[in-house]
Amino acid sequence: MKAMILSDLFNMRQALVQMAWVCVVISFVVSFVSQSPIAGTAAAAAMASMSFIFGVAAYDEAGGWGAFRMTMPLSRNQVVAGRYASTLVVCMLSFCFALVVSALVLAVAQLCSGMIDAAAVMVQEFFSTSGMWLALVASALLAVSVMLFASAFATPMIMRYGLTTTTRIAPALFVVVVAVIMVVGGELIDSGTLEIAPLVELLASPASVLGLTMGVFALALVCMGISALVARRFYATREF
Amino acid sequence: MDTIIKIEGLVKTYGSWRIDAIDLEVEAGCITGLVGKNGAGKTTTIKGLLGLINPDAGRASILGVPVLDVENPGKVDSSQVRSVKQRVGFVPDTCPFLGDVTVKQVGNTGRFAYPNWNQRRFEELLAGFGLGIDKQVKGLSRGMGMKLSLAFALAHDPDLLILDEATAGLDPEARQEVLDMLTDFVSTGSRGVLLSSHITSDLDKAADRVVCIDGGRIVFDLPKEDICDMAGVVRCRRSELALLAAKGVQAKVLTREFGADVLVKDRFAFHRDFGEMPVDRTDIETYMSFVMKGADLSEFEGEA
Repeated sequence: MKAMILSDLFNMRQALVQMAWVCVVISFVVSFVSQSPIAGTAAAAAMASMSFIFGVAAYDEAGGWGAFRMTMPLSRNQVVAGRYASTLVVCMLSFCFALVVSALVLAVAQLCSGMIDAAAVMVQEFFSTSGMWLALVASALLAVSVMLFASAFATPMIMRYGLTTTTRIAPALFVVVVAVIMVVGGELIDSGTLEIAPLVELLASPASVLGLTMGVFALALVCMGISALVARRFYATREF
Repeated sequence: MDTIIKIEGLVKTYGSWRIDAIDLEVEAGCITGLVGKNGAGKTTTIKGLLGLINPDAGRASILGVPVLDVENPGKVDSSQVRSVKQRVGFVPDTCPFLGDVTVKQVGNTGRFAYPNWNQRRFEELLAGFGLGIDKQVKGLSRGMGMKLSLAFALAHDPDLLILDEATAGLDPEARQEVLDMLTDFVSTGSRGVLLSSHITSDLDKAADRVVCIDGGRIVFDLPKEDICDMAGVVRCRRSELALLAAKGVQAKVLTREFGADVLVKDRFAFHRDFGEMPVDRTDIETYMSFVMKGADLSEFEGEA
């Protein structure tokens, strides 16, 4: 499994370095335009994670690398486990990187707050509101969680059919799943089984938002675990 | 002599096409050529052996370790399969490494994947091939990419090399260099090579045994000397075919407009019996043509 994780990271190294620079630029632009580092942090965390999830899957199909890998002393289970592990590693690195970039954005904003109105507004609102650092962490964690949900959804199909076929199937399947969730959720809310007022109350403070986000992240990890078991079965019968 | 690869009854169906009951052995100390035209089933056979596809039937072993048994899957131990793959080097028809990685990073991949990886050997091979370690894979020519694949395959000191159309697209000098390496590789007597190719001249030079596959079936499996030294092509008139058939000669015939070519299995014996008819040596390509397209000599018996 270590070989698979390192192989993925080595293969994506250059792409991730390039994406890191792009994330820095996007984070700055989004933060200054929105006058808040929250959205920029989420964007940076999401972009880097998504770039890895789908980039490494694309590389599997480039030049027969995925097939050649199976001629090396790696079992199919190790390939699947390694892929999920490398995805988690990169997502957590993206989370940390996004927070570092957000700190950089705030530092630059403080330096130029006297010259740029957006920077001044961003600094003033961020540092005058308590718990904004918690909200920053929550935004990065939520973005990474969304990417983990996406990975949990797509990776089994990628393992079975490859990325090309998955890009045809996954969007349609995603729409169906979201529609089902919305219909079922709507029914539950209308019938009073599910109350959203307590949920709204949870969003009242940055600390509770972070707590809720950590719950979402834990759910994402559970989904990744279930997804890995499904992917393992799918990959066992994959032909190259 | 030890059997390094043993394939028995391999079957794989793709729609209306299939490889059917493929039996194949590669002995230690030998280069076994797997020859056939495009789409004959060479790559499918190799994929079945290496676990890249799920065959419909058959068994296979590498270095004595069962790697495939469709009827009794419990006989295949996945940890043993992983162990035996450490002793197998595979060279595909195109360089499989990603374009953005460098030659050095390819070595890192090997270091993490193979416990028996020899980085020094890898660097020696790269130096011998003239491959710079900082060069990106996408900057390599086809020949250089194949050499990188070969260096990667050799660097973990394998006992078996499998090359799937690896010499296709190489210039003659590069092909000869590869063939020399393969000959040197098996010279220890304990290693083997399975060389799949449709370039029969490569097998003429390097192979010890030739297995021909056509339409998913083995059409012949012979030592190379049986083809290139023992067999011969008789040039004769069509009117002489009936005579040869009547004398009980067993052969394949390709007719020409004003004559016929007859493939005999033992040109020396034929020359003893029919000294007046010229008989030439043959090569693998010619032998294949006769076997796949030729008619039985017995069909010409009684022909005027």
